[in-house]
Amino acid sequence: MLKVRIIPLLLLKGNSLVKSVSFADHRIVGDAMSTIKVFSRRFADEMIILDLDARDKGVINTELLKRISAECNMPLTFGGGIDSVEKADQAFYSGADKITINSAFFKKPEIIKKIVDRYGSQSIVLSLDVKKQDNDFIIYYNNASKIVTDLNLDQSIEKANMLGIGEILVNDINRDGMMNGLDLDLIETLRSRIKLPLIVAGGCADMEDFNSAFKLGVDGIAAGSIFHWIGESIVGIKTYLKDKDINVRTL
Amino acid sequence: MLVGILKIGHGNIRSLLNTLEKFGCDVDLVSSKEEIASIDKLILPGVGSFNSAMKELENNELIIPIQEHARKKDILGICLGMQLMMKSGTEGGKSKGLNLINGKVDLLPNNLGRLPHIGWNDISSNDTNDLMINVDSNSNVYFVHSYQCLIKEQISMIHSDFYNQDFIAGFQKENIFGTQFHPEKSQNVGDLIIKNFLEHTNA
Repeated sequence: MLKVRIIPLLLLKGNSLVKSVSFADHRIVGDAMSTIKVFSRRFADEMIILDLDARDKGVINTELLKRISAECNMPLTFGGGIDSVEKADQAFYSGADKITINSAFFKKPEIIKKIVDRYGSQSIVLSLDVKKQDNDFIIYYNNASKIVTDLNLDQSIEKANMLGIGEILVNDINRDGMMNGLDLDLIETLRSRIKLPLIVAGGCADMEDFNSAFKLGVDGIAAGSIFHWIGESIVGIKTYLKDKDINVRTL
Repeated sequence: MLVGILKIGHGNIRSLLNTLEKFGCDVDLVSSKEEIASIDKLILPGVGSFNSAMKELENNELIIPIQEHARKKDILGICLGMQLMMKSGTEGGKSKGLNLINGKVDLLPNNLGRLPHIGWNDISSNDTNDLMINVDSNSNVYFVHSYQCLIKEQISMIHSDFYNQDFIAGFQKENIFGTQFHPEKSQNVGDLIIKNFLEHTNA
């Protein structure tokens, strides 16, 4: 049976890994290469790397990505300002197995269609930055900063289906880096509306969070802070989840 | 030993290269008839869509060289690479495959669960299969696909399940091997499967 996935989500800035709080206030948590080596040995199911420099400066550091992929013995998803077929080529050529797209999904859907045709749906992950406000879900893009899309959640999901996106990663802006627990109401809503494989991120505080979200049917949980700051181990989390009858991959 | 990776389509072959080099192989990216003739083992990697990949092989006149290689030397198709080995496929419009195996490629049932089938899943085999030497039953490997091979001949199969429905995760027909999963992304289990392919000798 298909296993649920536990996915370290790492933010790259230069040669360092950083961690944000509500998408801002980036703090350095370690050297990229050494941290990635550690995760590779700790039985993570996938790794997501979001390159902030690539997003902000528009250039992918392909040499670094090649070095990362050489150390990463699991499927590697890479994101960072990918808004052209050329940049997608660079990412895949440098060792990405999947790419995440964000701004381009809203601004250049025709490019996304081309990338999907070239690499197949299964390689393209939509990274959706969501903020729950009152009882509504606001979708942001461009570093979740100031820009609100004119699409609501359902419209974004519909557009993803139309463009042939293979998987959706939802980042909860309110809880990013807060370690105050996953927003289970948000996750339940997302699961009921998203038919594609769904990965959620934002707020993981403890092992029980993983249990609750997996029980709601998400395919993967991505997290950063819980690994960086609390030092919770992936093996430890998996042992806990197995005990709760969650279908995790164990050694 | 010289292992050739067929240069086809677009996509990540870096992890495959890394794995092969770890096992001390000489690896060559091959894209011509002459290059294919010079190698001991051939790997068809798996990215892109069936129809466009076959068109590319046809345009580069590689179909016959690959079929000739497969007549006597070891060949491994990974993911789309395995699917290309079938007689026909439907992704991107119906088209002919390499016809190394009597089978076709079709979409996984979309009423059972979420597509694409992405993630780690168990594999097992009741048949003798050289790829599975020393691989424990129910080992986990990494899948990322929406299409599956439907094979009509009696050959050694590796199985997995898509929301409790059996599908073909791999096969061996003498010197012809396929894996629907990505061994190059499947950590220790994947390494073992690649090693088994590299160590396979034709009796």
